[in-house]
This record gives sequence, C-alpha cells and structure tokens, in this order.
Amino acid sequence: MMIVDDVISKDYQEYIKKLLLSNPWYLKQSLDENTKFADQEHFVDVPGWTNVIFNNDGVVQRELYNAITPLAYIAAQHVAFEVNSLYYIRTFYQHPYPGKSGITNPHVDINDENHLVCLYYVMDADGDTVFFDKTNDIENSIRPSFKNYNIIKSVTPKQGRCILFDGRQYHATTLPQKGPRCVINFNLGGSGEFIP
Amino acid sequence: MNLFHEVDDFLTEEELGIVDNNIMSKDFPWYYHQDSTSTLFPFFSHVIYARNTARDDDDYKVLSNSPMSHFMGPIVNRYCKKYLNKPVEKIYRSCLNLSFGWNVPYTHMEPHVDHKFEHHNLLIYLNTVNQGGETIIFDKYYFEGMDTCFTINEYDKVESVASISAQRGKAVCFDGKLFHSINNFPTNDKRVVLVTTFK
Repeated sequence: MMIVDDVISKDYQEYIKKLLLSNPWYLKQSLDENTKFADQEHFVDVPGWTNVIFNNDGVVQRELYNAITPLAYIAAQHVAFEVNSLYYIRTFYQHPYPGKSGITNPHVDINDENHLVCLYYVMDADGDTVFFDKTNDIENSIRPSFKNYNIIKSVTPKQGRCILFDGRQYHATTLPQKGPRCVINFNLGGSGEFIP
Repeated sequence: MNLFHEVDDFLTEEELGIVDNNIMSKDFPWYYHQDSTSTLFPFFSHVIYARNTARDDDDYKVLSNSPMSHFMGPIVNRYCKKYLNKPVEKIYRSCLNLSFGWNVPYTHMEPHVDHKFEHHNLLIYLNTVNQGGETIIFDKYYFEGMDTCFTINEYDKVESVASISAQRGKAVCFDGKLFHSINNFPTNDKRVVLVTTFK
C-alpha cells in the first residue's frame, strides 16, 4: 500500500472538487454488502451518494471521465503500475448521520479480477478508510466472516491524498462525524508492484 | 385564522407512482448544496424553476430546464384552483429538496423566508419522516429591512408557533413571509419535499 499526498497539483485538486460537487449525485439507499455473516457482525449500514463515471458498459459520464481519469494514470506512476484497463470509476459522497458512527461493511470492489485500487480524497474530512487483515481469494471469492478481525491500517481523508493498494485487500469506511466525505474510487487493471 | 393550510393525501395515485418510480429511484439526479441558510445545513436539490437571487422584487421570469416541471405544474395548479380559488399567476421558485438529519447541535435549521416579496409557499411531502423533520413556523413575519434569516446566534429571538409533520402526499401552504424552518432528525431518515413559491 502506498499513500501519496498532493498526488496532483492544487489547481487540479480544486478543479476536480468543484466539478464533482456541481454534478448530479445518485442516492444509493444502502452501501452495505450482502453477507451470510451479517448477524454475527456489527458493521453500520447507511445510505450514500454515488456517481458512476465508468463501468462495464464503458464511459457513463463523459465530462467527468475526461476530467478525472488522468488522475489515475498520474497516481499509478508512483507505484510503477502500468494501467491497461479500467474496471470502474465511481465517486462517493457521505455526510454525518446523527447517532450513527462506526465502520461500514468490509468489502473488496471486484471479486474476480486482480486490480489496483486508487482511492482519491476530494476534500479534507474525517471518516478514515480502514484496512483489515484479510484478503480476497480471486479463485474462491467468498467473503470471509468478520466476526473477528484486526485493522492493520487507517488512513485519514485529506484533499489531494491518494491511497494505492491491492484490490484483494478488504477495506471499509469509518462514518464521518464532522463533515462531508467525498472520494473517487478507481479500479484499475494492469501490471505492477501491487498485482502478482 | 390558521397560520397554514394542510391537506392529507393530496397527490393522486399517478403522481405517487412518479414519486416512487422516478424521484425516489437510484437514477434520479440530485445536486449538492453546501449552502442552505448557512453552511451548517447542507442538502441535495433538484431545481425545477430557479429563483432569482439577484433581485429583491418579483419582477422576473423563470424558465425550467427540468422535465419535472410536468410533474409539479399540475399539482400546484390543482392546489391553487381548489383551495385558493384562482389559477397560478406566477411561479417564483420550485425544487425538490432531499435532506438527511444534520449532525449539528441545533434542533432545527435556521428560520428563514425564501423571498422578500409577497408569495405563497407550498410544500408537498414526498415521503413520511417517522421522527423529526417537521416544518416549523415561527412567530416572526418578514418586513422590509429585516434579514431573511435568523442565524444560530439569534435562535432566542424566535419562537415556534406551529409544527407540521412530514407525511407522504401531504400538501401544506402558508404565507411565504412567515419565517419557517425544518426540525432536525434524530435518525438517518431522509426527507424529500417539493417546494414551490408562487402567487
């Protein structure tokens, strides 16, 4: 895992922030994942806002795609990762919910493909991204129980900060308490340091 | 004299179908607004007719670039004809607002008025908020020279005189110069409302 601060210029950071916050958002009633272990676990499910920019069908939001995608290529250079395909580009927005705190459901973004995750923080916020001591098995991608787990890393959102990590690593979000939290999530295919 | 007029179950089955299948769907676009009365109470909105914030008077025309004008227009016209005994003369502003409870130590959003000129304010609640989220009307009426908002430091200057629960399909109309606000929600319910100001 690598954390890169100010992965892009301040001007580019401000441009992306302004662009994202002025574009439409789509409400997702639940950010939770289906798991047969839900009764044994104590993670928090909340609604959230998302905007899909790129998916299996290709480019969904052309303006955002053009503006944001260079960020992923710039970031990937920090880990000598050669991007040769895109799986998803999505943005997420959360804000504090009265009386709600804790960690959302541990997940990987894609079960059956090796990929690099590039997680970019659009603004300063609380609501750390946390990483668990469990990884996804691509060949047998059944989510393990998180009745017991250890958090091995916690990263605080900061405008311009980017985390690059192996997409097999289970991760989750801590609910923000002080203000909004906005991220861009890139799922990248290719070869390099984090992909075996 | 009542401070407000309310009608339960004002929306038709067809209109409720649009609410369920369109507005509440995952494909409906919402826009983030950091500023409401202040930056303490951000929310999401879908503007149908944008208000003209550059003018203090009502001498402006509004145009819609949202297909939701076809949803909102008949609702407002129906309310006007039935309960105000007149057709809608002019729309000043219309939007769909979606908010969640705010994680701030304040019981309600800042009391405010939408415009400085005479207008009606019609709210149509599109979902039921189980706890909190009421529209509050205060004991203050806008006069020329006043600010259009009481800030959090001025909460002791206003007193709530009415509280209207957010019930799916309910219509509420009141004199737009009455200062009003939204009660905070203690849960993570959402509150979706169609707001229209008109004469």
